[in-house]
Amino acid sequence: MKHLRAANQKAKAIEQAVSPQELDEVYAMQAVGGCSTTTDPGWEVDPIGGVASLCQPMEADLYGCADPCWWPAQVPDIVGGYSDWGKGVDSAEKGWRELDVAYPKPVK
Amino acid sequence: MGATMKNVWFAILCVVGFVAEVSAKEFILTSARPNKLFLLDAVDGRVAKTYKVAGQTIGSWSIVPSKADGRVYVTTNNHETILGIDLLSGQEVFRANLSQGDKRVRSIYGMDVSSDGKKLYVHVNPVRLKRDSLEVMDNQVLVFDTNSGLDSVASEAHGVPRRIQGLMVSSDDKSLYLLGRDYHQMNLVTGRIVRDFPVGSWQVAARSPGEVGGHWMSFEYSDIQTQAVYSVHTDRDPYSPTAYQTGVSLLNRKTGEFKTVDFEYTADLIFATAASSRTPDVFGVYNSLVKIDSNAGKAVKRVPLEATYYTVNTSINGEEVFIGGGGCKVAAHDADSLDRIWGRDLPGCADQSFSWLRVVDLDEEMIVGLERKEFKFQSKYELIMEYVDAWNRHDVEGVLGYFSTSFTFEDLPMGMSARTKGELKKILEKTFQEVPDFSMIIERIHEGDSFVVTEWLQKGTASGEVEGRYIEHIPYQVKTTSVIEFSGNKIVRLSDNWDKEALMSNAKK
Repeated sequence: MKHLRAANQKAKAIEQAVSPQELDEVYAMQAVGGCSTTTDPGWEVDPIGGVASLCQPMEADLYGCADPCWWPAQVPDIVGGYSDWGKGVDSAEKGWRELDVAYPKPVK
Repeated sequence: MGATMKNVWFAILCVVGFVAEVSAKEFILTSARPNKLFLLDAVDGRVAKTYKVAGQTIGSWSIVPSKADGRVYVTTNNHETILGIDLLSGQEVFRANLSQGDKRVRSIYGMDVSSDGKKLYVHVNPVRLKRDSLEVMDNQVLVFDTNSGLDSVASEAHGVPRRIQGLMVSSDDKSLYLLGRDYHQMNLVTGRIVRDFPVGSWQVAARSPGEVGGHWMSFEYSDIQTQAVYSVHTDRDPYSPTAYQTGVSLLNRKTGEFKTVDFEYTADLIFATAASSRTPDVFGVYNSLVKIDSNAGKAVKRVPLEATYYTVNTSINGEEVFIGGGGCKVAAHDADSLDRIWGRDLPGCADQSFSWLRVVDLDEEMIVGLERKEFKFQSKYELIMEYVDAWNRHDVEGVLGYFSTSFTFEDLPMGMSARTKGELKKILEKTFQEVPDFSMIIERIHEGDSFVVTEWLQKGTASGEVEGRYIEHIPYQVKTTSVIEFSGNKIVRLSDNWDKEALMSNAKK
């Protein structure tokens, strides 16, 4: 690293960030029901290892997990980057086949 | 003086007359994709009015009714704009764009209005958009004057803790309760947090931190905001069901009283809870509806639900429980028996997702554009099962009630048809007379948007004339297929087809 020198603003920011003293506080997600902070049920097993507490039907839970940024890893992040996901599909239960995988946006 | 007194009496009479004419009625507010706010009649769940909310509202939003002026405040534009809508006229009367310049400001659900309707409080989490990074800024509560029109800017801003999802103004308008993983009380004069109500950071012996999944606001008539709280008994065998505890937190906006009550071990999950105006009733919902005695700390009754419901509220008098959210279903249950009173699908079966269910009291006569159309509120499956019940009761008038005023009915094998209710009535009476034990047994229902196809068994003991031959007391059972087309909830075409030979072959035996 001693042979490398930060040439632009971003590189300088990275250089600062690797210094422990300069690390910013890690911010918690805004949503109360954040993805990794709760023991809410998933779509495979519920909190007690069964299936009785999964959403019924499962499709009715898709938007409920996406809209409040509840599970931004499992479903597209509608709030942050993929607000059009689900556009034109008002009922996930009836139109789930139309809901596509969210692909990373190309870097411009 | 005489004229003045006359004017006074005139004014009093006007007021009395006005009060007498007000037809206050209870409604439920819920939202669904893509940008619809529904006002539902609390009596039967029918859509009374649909508000098309401006802006990009994909996703779910806060719904904050203002009792004082009949407005509702909602978030739109991906949580970056606050709209105020007059519920009677449907007009937009307030707008605040939260994002400004390089600051992207969103309100993720936390919003409430003062009891006089003059101040709107909005929890926001601003982010500064830099060229190559985002700067997370401190969370705030913004204060808006609600009479500031369609280009409103905040008159005050107070720094608040992060991770707040619900706001509730105290009944005296002096405090603001902030609900997140912990709850806080803010003095609205000084803007300072004056009290904390620990849940996520509680220190309870042999107990994990309390966990709340979210906040679905529902305190408008009970004055108590509640939420299910989950925790683990750390001194118990983790493989034992008794290690996992469900409780409910209750925060009273009138008294400031706060308590968390354990009421069952976590065998059934609950998303939202709502306190009733009939203390100590609290209701929780998810895949079941549970009634909780919040004084005794126990679940007193539970009924399974046919689908997941995210959110719950109660009628103003506490006698009915309303459930909705998640998918497209909204339903009402009796608060004592938990029996279902009505259940509806929203038009188009649009998802409500994280929407809250709020209860409002409006003068029905004053609602502009009141809708009384027969939408397909009910799933066709439920409708057909009710229709079949009417057949099996031999309820002629009941069966006729499912048909539109203009329809066609045909029984192809028997060559019978009807185009009026009078003609159909004769067919029904003849059928029940000749087959006194006639019954329909549904095997399958194939549901389309405006039609269903049913496969069913007709069964009974037939007498009468068939193809010029008189039969008497012939038991039969034939498979039948019906094509049923609907307009709204009414049948406009019904075509039955079944194997007449099966009946005749029985007659020949």
